[in-house]
Amino acid sequence: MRLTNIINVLVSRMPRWKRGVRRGLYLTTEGLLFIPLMGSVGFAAINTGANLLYLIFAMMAGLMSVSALASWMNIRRLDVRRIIPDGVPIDEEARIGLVVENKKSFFFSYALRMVDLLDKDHIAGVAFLFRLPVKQSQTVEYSTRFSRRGRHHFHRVRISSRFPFGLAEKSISWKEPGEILVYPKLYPAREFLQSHGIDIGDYETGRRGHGASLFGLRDYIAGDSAQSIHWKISARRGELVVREMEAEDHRKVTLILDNHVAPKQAQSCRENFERAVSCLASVGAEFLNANFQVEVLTRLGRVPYDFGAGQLRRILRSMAIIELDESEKPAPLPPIDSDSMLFWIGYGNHCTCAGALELDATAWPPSSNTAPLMLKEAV
Amino acid sequence: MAKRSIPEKRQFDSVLRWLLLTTVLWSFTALATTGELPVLIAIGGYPMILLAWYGETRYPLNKWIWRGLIVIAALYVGWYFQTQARTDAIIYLLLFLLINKLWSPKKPRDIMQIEVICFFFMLSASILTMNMSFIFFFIGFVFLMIVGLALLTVRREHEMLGSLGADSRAGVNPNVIVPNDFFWRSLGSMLVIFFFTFWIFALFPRFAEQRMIPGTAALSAAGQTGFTNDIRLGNVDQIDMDSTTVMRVMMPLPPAVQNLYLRGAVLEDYENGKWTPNPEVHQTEPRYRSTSNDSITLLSNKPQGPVQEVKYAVFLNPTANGNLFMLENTTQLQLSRRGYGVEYDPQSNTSRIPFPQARVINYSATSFVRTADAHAMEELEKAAAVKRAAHSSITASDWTSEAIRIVRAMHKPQTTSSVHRETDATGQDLPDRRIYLGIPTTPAKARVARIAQVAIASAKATTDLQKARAIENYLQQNYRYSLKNLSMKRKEPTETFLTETRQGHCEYFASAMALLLRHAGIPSRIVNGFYTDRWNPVGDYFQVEKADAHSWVEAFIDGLGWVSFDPSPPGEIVRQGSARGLFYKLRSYSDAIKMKWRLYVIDYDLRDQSQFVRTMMQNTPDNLGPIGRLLANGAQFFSGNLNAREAAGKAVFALSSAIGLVLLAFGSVFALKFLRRRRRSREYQLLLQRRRVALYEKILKTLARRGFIREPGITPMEFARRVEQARPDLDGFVELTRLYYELRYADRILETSDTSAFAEFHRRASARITTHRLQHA
Repeated sequence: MRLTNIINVLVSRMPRWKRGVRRGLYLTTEGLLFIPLMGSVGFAAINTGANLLYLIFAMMAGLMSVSALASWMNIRRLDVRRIIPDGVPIDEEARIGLVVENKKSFFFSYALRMVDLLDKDHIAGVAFLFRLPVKQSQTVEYSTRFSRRGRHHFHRVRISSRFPFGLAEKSISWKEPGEILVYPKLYPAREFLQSHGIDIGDYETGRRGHGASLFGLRDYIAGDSAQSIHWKISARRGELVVREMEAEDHRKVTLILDNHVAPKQAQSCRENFERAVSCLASVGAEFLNANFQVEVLTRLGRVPYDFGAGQLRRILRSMAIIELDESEKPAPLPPIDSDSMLFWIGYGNHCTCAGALELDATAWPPSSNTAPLMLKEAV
Repeated sequence: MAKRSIPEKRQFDSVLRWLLLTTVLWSFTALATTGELPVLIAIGGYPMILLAWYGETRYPLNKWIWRGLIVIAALYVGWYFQTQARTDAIIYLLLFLLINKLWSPKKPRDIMQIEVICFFFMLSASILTMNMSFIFFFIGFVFLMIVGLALLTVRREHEMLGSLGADSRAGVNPNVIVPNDFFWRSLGSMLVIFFFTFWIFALFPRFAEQRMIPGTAALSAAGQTGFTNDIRLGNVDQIDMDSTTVMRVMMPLPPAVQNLYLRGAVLEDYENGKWTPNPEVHQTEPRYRSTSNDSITLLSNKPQGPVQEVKYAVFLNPTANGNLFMLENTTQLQLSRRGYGVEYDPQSNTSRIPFPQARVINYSATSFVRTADAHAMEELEKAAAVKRAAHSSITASDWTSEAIRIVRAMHKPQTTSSVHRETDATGQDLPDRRIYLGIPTTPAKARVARIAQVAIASAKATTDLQKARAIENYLQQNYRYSLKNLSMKRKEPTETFLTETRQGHCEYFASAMALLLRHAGIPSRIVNGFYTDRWNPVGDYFQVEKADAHSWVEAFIDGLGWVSFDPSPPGEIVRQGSARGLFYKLRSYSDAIKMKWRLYVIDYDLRDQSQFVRTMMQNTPDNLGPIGRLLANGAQFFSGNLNAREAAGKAVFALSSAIGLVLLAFGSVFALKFLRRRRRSREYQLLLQRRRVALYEKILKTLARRGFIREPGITPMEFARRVEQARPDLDGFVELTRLYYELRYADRILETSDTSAFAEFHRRASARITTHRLQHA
């Protein structure tokens, strides 16, 4: 577990008063107009000596006081937890959940405005809750989009309310740390690979083996493992049928992204590097969908071979945090598995890996009309 | 499970709309019930409001019609403002604005404006009325306004946050049901508001009125009482009983007297059924107090005979004539307010305030009321008669010839001073007999004189006191009290009453007795005022209504001075003036509440306020229980000889005042801070960010119209480079894009120069150039 995660967990378990609580109260436009109106009525009361005007003035002053008091009652003893998805691609709608709990014993809360704040108090999103009964919690969601991949840190949560009269707004905010990973954008990569002379179907082995993909079915032969029996079809046919799996020895793909560039070139490479990151993630997703084992090598380290959606998540996480390495002495690329198909993701840098097929990411995405993939489509 | 449908009436927007309509009708009713609106407007306002309400959807008006109506209304209101009552003009303007708003589609902002107009209706009502019904409308309006504002706040919040990207599915939508607890919460808020209202109303310092802008006093609702400064007999057919309360009279419990004759005006001259004050008699003297606590001395000596001292306080509702009503033989008068001067008439022992007042006049007085000790009075009269015989030739036997002589003297030309002053046997000023024995010459004069003789002879009365009582009894027993069939046009009303109709109300009885007394040679005058025996057990005061207006007679008896006689049949007065039973009890409660309304709301002033604070200070130790006792002990310990209760009260008051001042100071500082912070509020930042994006997107749209379309996947910087490459005249787009990056992602503050840069580039990009179109693959 990363240190920041540990700190976040520790902070979130602190009592709220230790979490940098900030309170605020400011007058709304209506409140700003209300005060001179109240002053005018008070002036008229004093000027004329009419006690019914004093009564109206007193009512207005009472209304103002109750407005501030009720706003305060409305937002006190509320707690908010955040429900964050594991990660979300760039520009894809991320739905962040806020679980709001009313810990008060007597007063319902109404018209609550929850503002989720990122670092530097940038607003991640706003949510609204009409009514929250006592000793209950409700979840509200807001949607947001992130335009930059990487780690985005949630910093604070702010609850404010103009209830009941809209004359004043009372707010409270406190540290509620959280983190969301923003993945690179994913596009369909099959056409891109074909344009580089790669047809994923050509890489299927066509041999029996002990892989994960289904090769075919055959009748049971004595000595076959009971684990390989396909029980459903066996039951339907009335005789034992066995699954045969495809060999996987040649279905390994290694995607290499060299994230080191010379400091002078860093600025000019930055945009293409972003394309390369998106390209690697998209190509990896394409291979994983075709049941390949995919490995990713960068100077940050290796994402070892694996299958399926879990591996795609791991690749996306690594691509989310990868940055250009401009150091003079960069870390070396991890050693390459010779059994694997090697793909070099180029973004204007030279391919340094012998035997690797270079995929030029500067033309990524393959077509201007290509719509990005939603994360759930890719997974 | 089938989803339960939401009742339409409870849906958010429905509730908001109906609440708004109720608020409008309620506040208009508050205004209409002040009675200050013309009947046409007060009644016609309702269909107009309803027409506007439903006309919004069914009969929408063209905007040009509205504009025309606005011009007409503005001209009319302007003209009305100049020529008629300005308050009315403002009310018409508000009414027109309301109709305009109701007839238009109602967005939250419009609803807020309608609420504000309703508030101004209530404000106008508070200026125009002093009636207690206002509190009923006030309470209802506060509740309606609280619920309305709360719903409106939720609606506006939802709309605003929706525009800022909040998920509308997670929040409220127009079809959501308004829960019951929302109304309960509003009710609770209302109670808290009234709590604050009470304290602020009670403690907000009252200053002298009309200090800042002269001539802008609240409109008065001065009313006429049943009391008049003269008597006109025979002009009306019937008198209706009016139960409007005129005044309340409080006195230490148990009350010293069981019924009150409150004198207001004294009338001496009689002619053709009209009793009027004699201008020669009523030479008023102004009396003022030097300080607010001084009392005014009216009579320097208490009257002769058996009298009882009565101290009482009067709360007199606004009157048009300024008369102060007091019991007979009033010696001391103390007014509660500064600034009042009193005109005192020593001859009639009556007082009045020169200028009509719009508020309740509160005064206390000390009077000496004659007791019913007939024997003692007769003894005094006899003693006076003995003394008088020594230096007066007029005896009881030749009273008729003496009266005739005086009447003849009346018609002789005046050569000496108009007011003739004599003194009686006790040294008291004798009344001017020419005035108090005046009898007009009428055809039935002899018959009236005979009635007087009969009345006196049947009672075998010898002294003036006995004669007066004889006439009083004669009238009470032989004449009937009636409020009907009183018109006696073209006849002398008193003589007709005495000789023909033999029925009438108190003015006829009083007039008849005064004339009979004058025929008998006893100086007499009529007193107009109020009689009541209506004790309000709820508020512990005598309640005086318009229906209690009364006339009676005062006769001058040697040795006693002016003595009151009431010839009206007593049973009839009680029956007419004071009801009993359940209705009476209910009225007592109602009047006691009205009394408190006038006392503690309408006429609550600095004096009451200081009294309230004093009471609070004195009772603080008791109110605070053990803490109060602790404070009291502590204060006594530190203050030495000071009274413990007083010291504790002062300490608590000083402490609370200090806390209040500190809170006020903090509040002011925070208010300034909040105002500054508001500019930097988060939502404002979000809006700014959207504005930055909007600036860039505006340029993108313009470029798209020129053929430069930014494809997905092309970064803004790439796009900028391509545009610059294709259109060299649009140089600077790359720089502008870099600025956009900084604004959007680097939290750069949008300066005016940045906005200008965007605007400048937009202007250049908008120029019609058909060449250099960017070709896309």
